[in-house]
Amino acid sequence: MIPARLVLALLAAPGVMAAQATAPADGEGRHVLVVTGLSGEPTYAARFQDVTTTLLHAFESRYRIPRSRIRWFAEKPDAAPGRVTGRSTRENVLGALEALATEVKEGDIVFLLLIGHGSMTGDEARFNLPGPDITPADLAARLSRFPRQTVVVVNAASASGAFLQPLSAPGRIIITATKTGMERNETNFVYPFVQALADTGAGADVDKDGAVSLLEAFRFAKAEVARSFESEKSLLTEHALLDDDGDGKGSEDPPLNAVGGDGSVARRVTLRSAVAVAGAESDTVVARLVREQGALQRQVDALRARKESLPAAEYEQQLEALLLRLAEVGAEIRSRTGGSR
Amino acid sequence: MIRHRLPGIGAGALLFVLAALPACAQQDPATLRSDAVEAGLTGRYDEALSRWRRLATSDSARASDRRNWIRLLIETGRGGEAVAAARRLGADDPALATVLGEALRATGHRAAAESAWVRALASSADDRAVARVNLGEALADRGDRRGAGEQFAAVISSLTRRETSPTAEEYVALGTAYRHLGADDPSLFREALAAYDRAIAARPVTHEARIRLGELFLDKFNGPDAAATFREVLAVNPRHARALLGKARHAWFDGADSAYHYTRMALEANPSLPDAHAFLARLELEAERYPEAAAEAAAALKQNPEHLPALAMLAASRYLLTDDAGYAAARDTALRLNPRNAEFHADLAEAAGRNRLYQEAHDFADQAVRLDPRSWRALALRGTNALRLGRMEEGRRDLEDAFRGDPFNLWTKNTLDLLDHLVAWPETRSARDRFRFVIDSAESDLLTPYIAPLAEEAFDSLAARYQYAPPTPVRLEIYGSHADFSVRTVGLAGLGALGVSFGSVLAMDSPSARDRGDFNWGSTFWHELGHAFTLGMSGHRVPRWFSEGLSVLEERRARPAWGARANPGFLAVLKADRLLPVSRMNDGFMRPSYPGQIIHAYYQASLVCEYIEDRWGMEAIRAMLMGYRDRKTTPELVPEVLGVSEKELDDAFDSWIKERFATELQVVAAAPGSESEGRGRGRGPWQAAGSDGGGELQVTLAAALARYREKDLDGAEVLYRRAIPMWPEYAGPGNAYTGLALIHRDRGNPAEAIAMLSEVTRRNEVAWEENLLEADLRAATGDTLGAAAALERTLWIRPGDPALHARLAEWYQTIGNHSLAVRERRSVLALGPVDRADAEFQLARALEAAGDGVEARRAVLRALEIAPTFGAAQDLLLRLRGAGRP
Repeated sequence: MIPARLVLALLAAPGVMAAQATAPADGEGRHVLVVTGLSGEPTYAARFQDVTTTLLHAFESRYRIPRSRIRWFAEKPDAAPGRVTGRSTRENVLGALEALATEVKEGDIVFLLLIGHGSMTGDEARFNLPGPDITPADLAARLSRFPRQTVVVVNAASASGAFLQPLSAPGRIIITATKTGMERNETNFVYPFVQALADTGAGADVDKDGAVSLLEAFRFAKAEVARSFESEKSLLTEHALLDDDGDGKGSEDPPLNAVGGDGSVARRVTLRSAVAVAGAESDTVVARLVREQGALQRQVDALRARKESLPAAEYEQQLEALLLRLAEVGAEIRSRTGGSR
Repeated sequence: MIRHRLPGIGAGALLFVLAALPACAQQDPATLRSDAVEAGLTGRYDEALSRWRRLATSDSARASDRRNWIRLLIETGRGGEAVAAARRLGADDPALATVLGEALRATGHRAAAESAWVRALASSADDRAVARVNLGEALADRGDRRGAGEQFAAVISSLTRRETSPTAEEYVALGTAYRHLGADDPSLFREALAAYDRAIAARPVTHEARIRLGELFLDKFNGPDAAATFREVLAVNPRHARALLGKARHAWFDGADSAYHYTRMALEANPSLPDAHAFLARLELEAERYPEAAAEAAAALKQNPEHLPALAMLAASRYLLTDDAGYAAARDTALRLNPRNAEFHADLAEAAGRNRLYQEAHDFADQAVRLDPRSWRALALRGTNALRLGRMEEGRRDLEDAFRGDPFNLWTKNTLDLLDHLVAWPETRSARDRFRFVIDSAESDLLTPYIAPLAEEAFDSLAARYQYAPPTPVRLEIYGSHADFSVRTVGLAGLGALGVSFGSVLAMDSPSARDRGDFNWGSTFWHELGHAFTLGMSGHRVPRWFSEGLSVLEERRARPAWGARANPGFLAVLKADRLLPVSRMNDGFMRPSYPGQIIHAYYQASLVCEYIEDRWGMEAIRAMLMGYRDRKTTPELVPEVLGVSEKELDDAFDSWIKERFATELQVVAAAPGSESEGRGRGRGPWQAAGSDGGGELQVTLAAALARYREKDLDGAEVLYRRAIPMWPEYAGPGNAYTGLALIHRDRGNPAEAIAMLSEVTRRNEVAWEENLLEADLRAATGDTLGAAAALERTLWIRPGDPALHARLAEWYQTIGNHSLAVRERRSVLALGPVDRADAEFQLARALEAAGDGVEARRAVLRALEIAPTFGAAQDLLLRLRGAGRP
């Protein structure tokens, strides 16, 4: 389970975020560590570098995460001078996590993304790095240093499914590109995943709240990977998983409106900074409307959770009433804030 | 089927045994015997017969020598000689009674054969088990199932309880007994396998054990093991007639054209093998060559007048030739020999089904089941044909019963597996209720809105042309998996076709079942519906070539771009004078002589129909269909309806087609028709370098493309313009119009580019890239209507891209065609978009524009259910508040 305050701080709905007095200001509370591992051949090296550059650019420009909070360990540090923190050796990566553990505050988000190739030898999975590889046990030991933070681990490598169970814990969102350590083909998951986070026009923001949650990015990437394999008439060789309830069992298709179980945390976590609504603090009417909006959304969530147990007509009637009121509130907020909401 | 083969048994072991035999004959009996065995096994039959005869007629002859000689005479088609030899060697000798019976059986003297076996059983002959199995088979052949079962059980009991090991011959008898009893207890088939394997291990003097083993594999749908077993025999004796026949049956099982070839080889090895003649008759029937089938059946019956499969083929031939008296005579003979002959009716059912007479096939199978409710083959045939008639529940019940009885039947299993999926697919109706659509669940919502109006349009159009309406509702099944479609059609995966018509039941591939550009699913549907009309109107008696020709012609009549067109390969064959005459058109479909011929046959048949319609009018087409219904044949109908002889029609069409393509024939090279046309209808042979049908045009187009790739636009344009007059209609791969369109696009001349692209898109039904480019260019130049039309054409090639639907929806909204905009927005949703909230919102907008406030409100509520704070959707909801409320 994720610490309660963090959940509130990370609620995706803009109205709710604006209502949080403790919402982190720009650049605060988010720490990014990207590791691009052994590429094997120049094509992969170029792809890994491109996708990382795209992501980090979006983190800096759109998500307003300061460069000082972004660490990138690459196979060849000179490939992107000035951007790469160091070589992606096991020692450097684990050392960076150790260092980060001393910097973070309670409620911060730590985002760890592994891009590259993985392998499975015997019972042990590995993420391939120059020199010694990283194992799930290595990471699990370092991640235990972040007990009061939200830790997001995205292992986008082949055979990454074997990392899920060892890393799963309350307060963590674990995403792997494959279902098991036996899915060893090259993976494509990271490209649409990064596209979802970096490109506002990609269509990943399916709940239209103006931010792409990790659940939305995960679902977008899954769908794009499936579509890509289908268009090539190939058998799907990677089945990404998400686990955020700490049970060590990933879900292939966590629902968008998850309430409890996998997806219920990731749907509320975004790396976007909280931007206060212009004038909201000084407009008590807007503040009230925003609170009402939040309350209505929670009622919608609760109603959706009971959908299967209610008669269809009753569900639709209640839903429509709530959505109409939400629409009225939303319209009022937009009118008072100049349409910025 | 799981096979338990004994270790070390196979062709290799057999060859080793043979290699150990002396290379040249010696005079002493032991050496002579070894030489005879070797010569017989390796197919040096004259030599073998000579040696066995010497052994059999010598003073020191063993009973086995005499039997081996007689059996080899039978194996080599000398049944009469075998009978004579057996009688000469000892008409009353119990040791020869069994083999005498076999010789009598081979020559159609069943009663005498049975007497001989009974005599053997009453004696102390050492081959009584073989006699008993033979007797059991004879009893089974005349419908005494119980009596046969008792004989088989006795064989098993005697051989398995005996202390001494059975001989190779006895193991074969044991396997055969198990095999027959397996009809009631399928687990016994494995015992049969084991027995045959042991027979092989016992170093038999003939290939009988392997042949029987291969036949068992075939009967139990194990093609690979059957093929391997026959291969083992043929590796030793390439002229073994029954092994060659086994190979032919295996090829038939796999749907390969080589079945005919191997059967011919079997008959070359043994011209009087009745089984081979009967099987050839079956192949001829399936090729709609009924007189030839009757002749083959007669050839089999000449050898053995009581050959039941040959009688069935003769009856089927006569039935299909509408020779009622001939059919009745053959049927009566067969039923006199075996009054409970379910296989006879099952054979007729299969022949009728293969000739598109599905109702008759069902009825024959029904008769078979009534004669023998445990005829699993007949039950499966009745079920399969019920499915073809659209009687799904009835068909399923029969197939389930059949599969319980014969769990080895791969066709039945595949079909039942398919039905398990099919039952979950939604069934929808067309606006006028003349169609039922059963479409893969994943695609039903996407495809139905397109196919439903097209179906109604096609029905009206075809009904007007044929002045006939087939039985309704027409059931259309669309399969997202080609393998499923194939199973629906033939029970196995691997069928090359795109669609099939069983009359008023149609099945076809969905566009997602094939690679993009492989086919146009709209024209394919129209084609199959065309068959529903021509089959229905002719009482399902229209020959294949005429039905296919009309269906392709109907495609072209329906839309300018649809249907097959001349391609370089076709013209190359025409130039080489290798096209079939009209009088032999059916062979192009049923027995193609080169890989691409069937594709050429479709197009050629459509030209023949076009020629007939142009010269004699549509009423002539209708009259021919009615004539087929009245059981007339093409040779009868051509003079009667068209007023010319078949030869005159052949000649007239030949002149017409050469005149029609006179220009094009000047620029292609003649080729004998060895090229492959590719899997899909959109692919042309020029995609492969060095393929047939080249010539001046090909050279010019290749040079133009090379110039274009070098950015020499002017040079490329000159060459492309030179190519157009050579073959103005050519719009296939690498055509000049597309080349010129790209040049104009690159130069920034969209109007000229559009004009060139139109030349392609109005001629080529699978021009995906050209339609997309045309849509882009038209949209960019403000021709939204034209752009939408181009994009609409792409949907009949591949409707699975949500972005294209969204784009088309916007264009329809722009031009005020709101109902089509709504259709397109629904298509986006049917494709399962990641951003479903936006897709629902866009649908709501389109519905609002179309004036359907009620549905618009529902759609926007669905959007907000997913994304409750979606601002634009909230605004729309507020605008639609109250819509549809009382």
